[in-house]
Amino acid sequence: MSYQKNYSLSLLKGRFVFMSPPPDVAGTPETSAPAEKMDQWKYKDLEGQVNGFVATVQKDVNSVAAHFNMVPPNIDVTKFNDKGECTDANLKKQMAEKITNPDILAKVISMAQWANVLKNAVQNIRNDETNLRNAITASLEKIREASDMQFSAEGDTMAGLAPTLDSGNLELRQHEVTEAEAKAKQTELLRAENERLSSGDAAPKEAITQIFSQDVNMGINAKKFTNAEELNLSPTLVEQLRKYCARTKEGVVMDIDLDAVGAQTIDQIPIIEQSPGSKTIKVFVTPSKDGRFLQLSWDVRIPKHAGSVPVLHHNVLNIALDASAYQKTGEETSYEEPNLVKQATDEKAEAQNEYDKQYKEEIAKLKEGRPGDRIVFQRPVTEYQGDERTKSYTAEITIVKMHEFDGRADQYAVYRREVSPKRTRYQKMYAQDGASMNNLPSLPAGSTEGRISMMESRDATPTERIRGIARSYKIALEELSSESSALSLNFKTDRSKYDKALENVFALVENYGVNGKTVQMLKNAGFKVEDIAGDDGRTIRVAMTDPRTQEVKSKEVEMSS
Amino acid sequence: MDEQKKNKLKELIDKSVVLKSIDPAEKERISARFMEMDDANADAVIKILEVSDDKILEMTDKMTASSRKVDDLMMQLREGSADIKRMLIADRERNANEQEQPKTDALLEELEDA
Repeated sequence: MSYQKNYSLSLLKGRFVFMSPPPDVAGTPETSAPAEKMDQWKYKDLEGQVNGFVATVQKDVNSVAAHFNMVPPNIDVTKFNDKGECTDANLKKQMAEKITNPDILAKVISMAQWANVLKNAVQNIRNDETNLRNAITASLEKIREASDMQFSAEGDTMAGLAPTLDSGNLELRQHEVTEAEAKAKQTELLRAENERLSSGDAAPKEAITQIFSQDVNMGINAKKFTNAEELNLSPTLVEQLRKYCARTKEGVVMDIDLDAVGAQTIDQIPIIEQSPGSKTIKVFVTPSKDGRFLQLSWDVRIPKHAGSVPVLHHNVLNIALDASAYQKTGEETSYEEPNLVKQATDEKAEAQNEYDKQYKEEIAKLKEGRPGDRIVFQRPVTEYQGDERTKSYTAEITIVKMHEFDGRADQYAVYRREVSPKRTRYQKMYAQDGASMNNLPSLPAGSTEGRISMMESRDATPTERIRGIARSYKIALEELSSESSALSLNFKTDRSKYDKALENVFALVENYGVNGKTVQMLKNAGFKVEDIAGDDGRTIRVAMTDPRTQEVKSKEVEMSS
Repeated sequence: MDEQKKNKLKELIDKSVVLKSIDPAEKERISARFMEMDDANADAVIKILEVSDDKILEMTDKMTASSRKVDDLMMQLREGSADIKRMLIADRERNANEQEQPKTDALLEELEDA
């Protein structure tokens, strides 16, 4: 048709280009509302831009990988769901293992998530654009039909045409497209589910559910060997487990809802939990290299009697999938040690995440308290030598709020001692600035309230005190530098973060004063430090110029001796 | 068709988003035909033009909103990319500082003595 020649919606050229007025209209003064709306459309190659950004994400990931000495993973954005969760167990494990800075890990994941959402958004626009093109074509056909009809059927009324071109007609076209897409999506989901089931991926979860519905506590604190027959697993399920082991080179962690599987009770005490209050336990599923065993391992906390403190138990269950790997005749039992594909790397990462979460929650409770306030809680702790789990026990953790800067607490001392199976001395934890030691998880660097420090006010020696102050300066100045860079580069950033970071530095200046060392640190961070005439002749002014507004903020203090 | 209806029809044809996308000569031809219609047919054409334009503009509004969302996401990615660079620099500096801790400690002890 001739009108298509000048169709300004030039998708026909194979490019993702939005509508713009045709050349003869573009230069004409046009103030009507429809024209204004149409002019909002600019030529854009959105797909190109999106691909560029996905490439940027990959580049960033490569930088992160190089920083942490890991092989750069291929960040396929489809490996992240809409909630930002990594759906690829291998990639998840790789990142959790290697990227030791939780902030950077979180940022990499969120970047991949955004890229995923971006791709979907562009796909939606592409669909909308197709609908728009169809709608315009339909409208044009009706208009041309109307104009032709006047001459071809003189005297006939065209009134009947109008209702057929109402919005419902156009919506029907869109609806047809949407319905077709929905069907395609559903088919794809079914296909993926069938593939998952036939590959045996669903088998471990089904097996765990069946086993736990019988007895979740089997093999407490001991390695136990069994086979499918003893566990009443069906031959079909065992075959699927074999397929899974043969195909899978890595283990996975599965969340099992104890309520959903019918959690067992012990002497009517229905407390079987991995962490206080939780009815979900994590089960580590590890296939053996030869595919003859599947190892399940999990922790449960079980009270000895009602009301007593639950005690941690670590369970390992090796399921022989091959009859010759485990045989039981009469009193004799023979079995082989499974040659496992992997050890405890996944559970270590999971435990670390769990610790981080709990510490963050506990410290948040202390935030509103006063220096000296403390929180004591118990939690299961597992220690590792490399990736090997060496020790599991219940620990009592004490967090003490140490210092308060202008209403914002940012320093805490953390103590830990074993309370089960035996009581030990308190062990003072040293964790600072995102680093982690002695299995104590770090909290995200950059969150002032979450930082754990060894600085202690009451019994700190003068040396510790000076070190603590210098560290506080260092942390506060780093934060300010980061926020200042963002502000000066005109990033779309939260200005209040910069203001807060500057206030933190001034609070340190006010509370602790400055000396030769801290003056140097302040100068290095861009502060102007100058002597001014004070009553004692030792007053100095510390000033900082706002990178965006150029406003100068300052604080005057006396020089420390 | 009375003058008032003619003016309305002319205004709608001029504004029509759909007619803007066709060849100007064809638009002219269609416009001339519409102007010669009787009242009943003119009413039908007015209805056609109004409904189709409303629908098209509604759809373009939706696309504009989606486009803005894409712009926002791209902005977030730009910021995220800059954040990662900053974090890596900070992490590198922190690692370097940790390695130099004995030196820093000695310096701090000197400060204490002073």
